[in-house]
Amino acid sequence: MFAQQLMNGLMLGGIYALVAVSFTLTIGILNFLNFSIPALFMLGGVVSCALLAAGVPAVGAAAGALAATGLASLLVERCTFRWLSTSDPHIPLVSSLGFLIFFENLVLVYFGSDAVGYPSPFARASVKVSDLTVSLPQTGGFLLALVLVALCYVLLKYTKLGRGLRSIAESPAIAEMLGVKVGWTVSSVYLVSGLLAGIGGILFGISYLQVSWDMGSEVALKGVSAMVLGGMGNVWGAVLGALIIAVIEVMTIAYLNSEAVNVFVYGLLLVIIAFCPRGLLGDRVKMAERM
Amino acid sequence: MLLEVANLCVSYGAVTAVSGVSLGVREGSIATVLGANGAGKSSLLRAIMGLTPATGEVRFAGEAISRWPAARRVAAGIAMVPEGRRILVSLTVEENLLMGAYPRHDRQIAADLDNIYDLFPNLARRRHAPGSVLSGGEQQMLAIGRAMMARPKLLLMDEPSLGLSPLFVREVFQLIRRMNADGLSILLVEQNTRLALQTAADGYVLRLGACVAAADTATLARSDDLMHAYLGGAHAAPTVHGP
Repeated sequence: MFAQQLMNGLMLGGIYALVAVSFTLTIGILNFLNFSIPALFMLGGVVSCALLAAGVPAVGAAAGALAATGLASLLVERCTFRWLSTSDPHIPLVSSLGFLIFFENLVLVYFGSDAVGYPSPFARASVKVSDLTVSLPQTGGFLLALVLVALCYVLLKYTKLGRGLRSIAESPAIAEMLGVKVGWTVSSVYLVSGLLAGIGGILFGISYLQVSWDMGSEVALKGVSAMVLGGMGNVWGAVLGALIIAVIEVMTIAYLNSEAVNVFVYGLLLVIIAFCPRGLLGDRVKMAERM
Repeated sequence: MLLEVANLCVSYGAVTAVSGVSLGVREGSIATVLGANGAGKSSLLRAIMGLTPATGEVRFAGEAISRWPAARRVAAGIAMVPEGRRILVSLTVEENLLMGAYPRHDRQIAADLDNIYDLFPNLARRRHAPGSVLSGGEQQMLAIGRAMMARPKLLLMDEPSLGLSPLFVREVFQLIRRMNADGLSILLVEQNTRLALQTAADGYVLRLGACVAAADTATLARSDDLMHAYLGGAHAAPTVHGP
């Protein structure tokens, strides 16, 4: 029973991790909290759901959903972050929040307010390992999430684009002086961040077999919490935070009380942050200075 | 002329930093821009690099580049060592150097990296350390090495001696002469007027954003009046600035 719950928690954590890393990229590199990410997550789930329901094959549905989230993310970049340099920094924050509400309500109008069943081509494929039920699509999604986060890490740490991104994170002015095409590079951050959220949305549909216009909000709140818990701007910190939060959530439902989920999840978050304000994998030196 | 600047103006809102400056850097030579604090020297370099909006004309190697973004100017062969070094402290020494080669796509980057390490053994020893652990002098070497990684034809240097010990100032200026002897053209902004006049062939004096004198450095060095009037007697300043 415990092992089963632990596994369920980790599977959920994989989805939280994608959203948390999506947030981490824009805040770590661009110092911008992109409020529209929950909507991109939701678009990934809802668009793939609609395409599957219309009879599009699985690969096509996934590609269509990712194209939609990628484009939406670039639209948000166009209309929010590009204005940052010339406006009060709060304006883009508010307009990204505007995009969240806009996308969610657009889907609300077309899809209705009820959760819709997700016509997953994999349905409930699972195998029994002793007394554990292992859901194949969930496990695949979890592994995919880890692989994607690892790819993000490698991209940031070891590639030329990654060096350019970290230069922008430290100083856009110096990056520009060194010949980095800052505008283009910022767009690539939004694209990657949006695609991660979109993939998270698709995996949510495959794992839990339903999508809705507001599916992003709860998940995104957990994703942001995971990012803070793990340490801002740290990709692996976001993953660690996501897995911890998801496991606590699942364990609370299984052993305590499903009404108390958020009390436990966010209560624990507050306690950890109080003792470790930079997050679990945050900057140790600065944390030591603070103590 | 490798670089020709005509009637360049830079404004920040209502404040004019550079008003109608014209200057040139001959192929293979060092030119220097002198002037007191706030004379517009840094703004001039930033405008040549394409980092700040400016009006007027900038020609590089015969091409009008005024409308080019900074990245294209770097690719065309202009690199900059900014005031205060501005190395990237969250990147390693080696990553800083590789950032210098960012617009390049050729296969010589690794070989150039080795050349920089031969030139600066201190950087080679710390290639995988973060830029933040370097001393001020080492950071200046890194900033110069980073600029060299772009394989520039023209190097813009903003106050390379600022804040360095006498030993490092001497080393930086030896390096400037050596790079120039290897064919690099340099536009040097320097508070240390005496050193700048000794090093450069042509000099321009800025005052309140306008060019008030342009001549070969031997002539400028002889005109005491000019030096006293516009550089606040910096002519006789000690060789070293900073702590």
